[in-house]
Amino acid sequence: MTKVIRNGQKALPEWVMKLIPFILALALWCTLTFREQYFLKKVEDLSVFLFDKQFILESLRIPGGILGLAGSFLTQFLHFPWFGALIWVSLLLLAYFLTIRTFRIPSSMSALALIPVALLVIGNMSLGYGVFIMRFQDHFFSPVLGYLAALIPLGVINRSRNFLSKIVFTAIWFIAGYPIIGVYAITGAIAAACAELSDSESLRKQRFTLLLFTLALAVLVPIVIYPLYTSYRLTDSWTLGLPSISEATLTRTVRAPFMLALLCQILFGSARGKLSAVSLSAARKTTVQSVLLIVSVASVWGFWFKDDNFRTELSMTDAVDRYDWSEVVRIYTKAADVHSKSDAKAYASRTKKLSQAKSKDEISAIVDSYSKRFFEPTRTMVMYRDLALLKTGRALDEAFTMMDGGRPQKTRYQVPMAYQSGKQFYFQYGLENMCYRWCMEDIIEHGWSFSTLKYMVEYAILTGEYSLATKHIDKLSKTLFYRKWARSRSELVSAPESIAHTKPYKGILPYLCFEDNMSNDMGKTELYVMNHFLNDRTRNATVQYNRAALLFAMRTQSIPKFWECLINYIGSSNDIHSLPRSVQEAALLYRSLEKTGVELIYDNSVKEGLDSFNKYVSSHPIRDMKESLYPFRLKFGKTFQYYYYFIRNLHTY
Amino acid sequence: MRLRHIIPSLLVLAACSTQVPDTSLALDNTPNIFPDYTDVTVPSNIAPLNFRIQENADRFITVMSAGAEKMVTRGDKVIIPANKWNRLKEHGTVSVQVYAFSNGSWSGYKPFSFTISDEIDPYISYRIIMPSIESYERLSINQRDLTSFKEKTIYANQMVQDASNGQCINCHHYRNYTTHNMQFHARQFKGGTIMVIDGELRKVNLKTDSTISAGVYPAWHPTHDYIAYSTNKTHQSIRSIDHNRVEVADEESDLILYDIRNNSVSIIENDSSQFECFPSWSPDGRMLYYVSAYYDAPFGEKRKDQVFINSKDIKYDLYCKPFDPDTRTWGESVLLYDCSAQGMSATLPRVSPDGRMLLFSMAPYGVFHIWHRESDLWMMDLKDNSVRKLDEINSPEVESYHSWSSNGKWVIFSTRREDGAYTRLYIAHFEKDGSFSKPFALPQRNPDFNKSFLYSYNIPEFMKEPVHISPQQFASFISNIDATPSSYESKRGK
Repeated sequence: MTKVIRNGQKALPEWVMKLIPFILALALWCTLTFREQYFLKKVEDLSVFLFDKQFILESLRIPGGILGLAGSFLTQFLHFPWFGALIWVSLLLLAYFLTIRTFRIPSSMSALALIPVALLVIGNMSLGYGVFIMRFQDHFFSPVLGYLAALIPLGVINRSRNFLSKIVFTAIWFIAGYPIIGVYAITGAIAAACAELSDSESLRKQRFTLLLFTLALAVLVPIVIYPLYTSYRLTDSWTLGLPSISEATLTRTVRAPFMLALLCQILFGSARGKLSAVSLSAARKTTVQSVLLIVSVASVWGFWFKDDNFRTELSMTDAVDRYDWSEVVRIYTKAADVHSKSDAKAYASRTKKLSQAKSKDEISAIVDSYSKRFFEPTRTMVMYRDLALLKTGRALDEAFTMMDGGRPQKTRYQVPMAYQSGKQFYFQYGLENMCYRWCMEDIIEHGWSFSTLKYMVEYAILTGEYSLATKHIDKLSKTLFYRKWARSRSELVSAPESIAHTKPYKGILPYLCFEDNMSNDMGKTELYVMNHFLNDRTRNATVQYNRAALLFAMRTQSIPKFWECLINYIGSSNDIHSLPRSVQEAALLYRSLEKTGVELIYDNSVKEGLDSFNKYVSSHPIRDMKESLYPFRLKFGKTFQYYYYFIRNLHTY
Repeated sequence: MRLRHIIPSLLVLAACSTQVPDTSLALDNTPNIFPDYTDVTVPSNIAPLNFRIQENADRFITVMSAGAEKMVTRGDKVIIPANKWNRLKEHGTVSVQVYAFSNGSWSGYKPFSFTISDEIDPYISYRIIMPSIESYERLSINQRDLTSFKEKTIYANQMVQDASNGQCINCHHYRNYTTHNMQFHARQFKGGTIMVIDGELRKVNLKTDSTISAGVYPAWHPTHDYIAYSTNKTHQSIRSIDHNRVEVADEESDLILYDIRNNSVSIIENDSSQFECFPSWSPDGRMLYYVSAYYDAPFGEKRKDQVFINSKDIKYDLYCKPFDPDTRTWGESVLLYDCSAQGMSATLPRVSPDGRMLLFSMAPYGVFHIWHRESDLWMMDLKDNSVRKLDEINSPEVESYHSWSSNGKWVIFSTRREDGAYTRLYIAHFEKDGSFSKPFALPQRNPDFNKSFLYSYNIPEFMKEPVHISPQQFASFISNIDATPSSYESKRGK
């Protein structure tokens, strides 16, 4: 390659380039630890590693299983996000330096090694909701471990000067490596053979022979080994070890970054001879390094899943799993508050644009384009919040004073609420068998996890199936970080009389006053829970049950159901004089709409509130509900009439 | 080294050795062991009965003796080497004495024994499945060598299904306990009934325009080339709070006969007001036993929901129907046992190889008893039609699918007695007086296996030999061959 020299242009100092990977690693670690800690915790929550012979043997039933086992082992350290992130970032750093060293990338192009590392980061951090539907829960660490393992043949073959020993090593590598690390063994060997081909040191014939031998083994070894296994299709043999999802097209999407990272190894290998000979001018060096750096960082940032609602859902789930109800409400409230400034800004900007709009279509287009800029919670967030409010007895007082909505998941991986948080909702609402069902469905589709094991224990304790509880407690007692929890549940099982007074069972037992019926949620958790409280027959319904029923009646905006549930609620609470404000508002509104229903004693402020709302509506005619949503929310967002008129036609999940 | 150091060291060494204690306090109870193998009768060719002692003590010594043979093990996990086990078994009865060391002294539990009895078929097969509700990501039909702990996969759905197209496999079944003629169903993706006919693979679609579904629960005729099947429109629903989590019910259910040579099906029973199900042949093939429930509701969209609403009222009775295999003609069905009159519902009739006993499971309602905790095993003596609940082998949890060994000396059955959720296999000896010995759990190399294993076993079937076709052969065949449609023949006989 021609060496280009341009006077007067300086290259970046060497130490800057040496420092950059560490700076990037630090930035990545900080982002993971302080911004994505709940995502990391969720990754861990959905994985499992047991110090158990059965568990280890199970992992051997597929080529690449040991890599998965190692991945699962490391994933458990995400229990402490800072520590798990530290391990992952360290492995990425190692991958970066080993890539430079193995492929002899000159220092003038060292940023080239950032590309596969960036792809590994993208693979994990673009996942978002996909984390709930991953097939094997070792997916966070396995790709980087596989990537590192795939560098082994490059190192070994390159050091060997004897052709025969290269052939022997390649054969051994395939036979031993493929069952352990799956596809990474294949790509690593191909990259090594390509690297040999690009080296000019050995004989050309030998280099081609090695490549052909490697390619032949890459095809044959998986075929020959296949009869030893019964857990996959032959056609999947060349992708084993890569993450997958329970849908073919999405699996390709999930795998793409990791496959590209492996492709990088093959390309770097193919170009190794040329790469090491590259010599650039100071100016070009700076340009190349900067471009590579910017492309890598920008790609990572661009593909990083940055949905605020997703993050809020994860932090709420974490609090729900700890039965910390006040924290659930706090997270929800904070999420709404955080967006108040950006909402105001968006409103101001939209108002400005609307003032210039000339046609109805133009107005509609502006409103539509801005609607996504306003904060709107997902149904999962609302459901979590309602659950927390119900558990603390504040639901009828506060649920309709908070923001509501139903923003869809902003992801290509659409995850049913049942998979995301079905077991939590069903367990907390006392729908025992549905909790069992979704634990099992989750286990079958996505494998065992700490989360499902915990809920299987909780389910069994709630239903009094202590042998079953003990079975799963035994599993959790073989983990690093859930032993203590398992011990606490084991103590409960040995003293079942204390269960009724212990969290979370104490808060669930009041819901267990309904009669058995048969149904199927069809994966729609919210709808099922609402229908359960509104339609299932009860025996001596508790005030907690009737409170939930009334809440869901108000949610559905069904007027007949509201009156029915209100009467039941009053009957069980024996309190008609201090009904929560939202209930009074709903009653007053419904009576004014239909002139039927129960006549209550309303607070004056409730009547004034409805009058004020009606007056405001007549003085501010609504031309588009979406347009009026924000100004009305500012003024009446804490009233039931706002909920009734503006939060409508939500999709239930 | 001083004496005061030596003596404790010797004491420790003595305590750690496998020396049988000279003196011990005799306890009047047998030790709590898992699986519970105390005083069980076992086949002479069964694998070692490894177990774990579940008592609180510092140390354990277990002594097994039979005739001049003796084996002493230390620790709470008792693993019996195969050669030692075989020598012990030769003596007919193996006596087991467990000693426990705690608070500085030895106690001896009341000894128990393994009574060695008739041989058992050397193989069983079963399906491995999670105790799931709807999904079936990973299913396999496995075969287990009962004389050892070797287990192999016959076929697993993961060898054919892909991420988007699942495959359910079920109902493996053999002709006269041999594997040269066997079948199982693969449903949905690349589906069909997979048959091995005299060692040759065949994939058949048993659904015809005149039958309500493909064949479901099979019964291979013992002497002729027929297989009786039920045909079912089955649905599943979840109970919101009942201790029986799931309900499986048929919207429609009939019986058909598949003629292997002609690849044709004909109707055995299709009364629209009856749910006929679970066919089973007498050993001479001249009688078909089955269960049937009266259900007379209009057909239509609401029938499915109605079946679940009425599920607790749907009760199956035992029937039999004479058959002439040479002319392929049927006689009139006969009500054998009116379970519904007693408020009960029977399923899975299985006749003993000598044709004398009819084993079935019974619960208060329904047909899919693996989800009914009340389900127990019952037996009818076909000589006088007397019926008896098998208290000696039942438990408070589910007892469901059961099979007779080919010599009629053993039954294997599935039960959820250990934890109420994960189905395990238990074996019991059929005694000469018509009773059963105490059932014992299928032996495992690791005695903790049943506690640790997070899958269920179902449909245990005895086999005289292993399946010779490899899983890969099955997978390749299922992937590449389309199911041959079967034809429909109108009914012969009455």
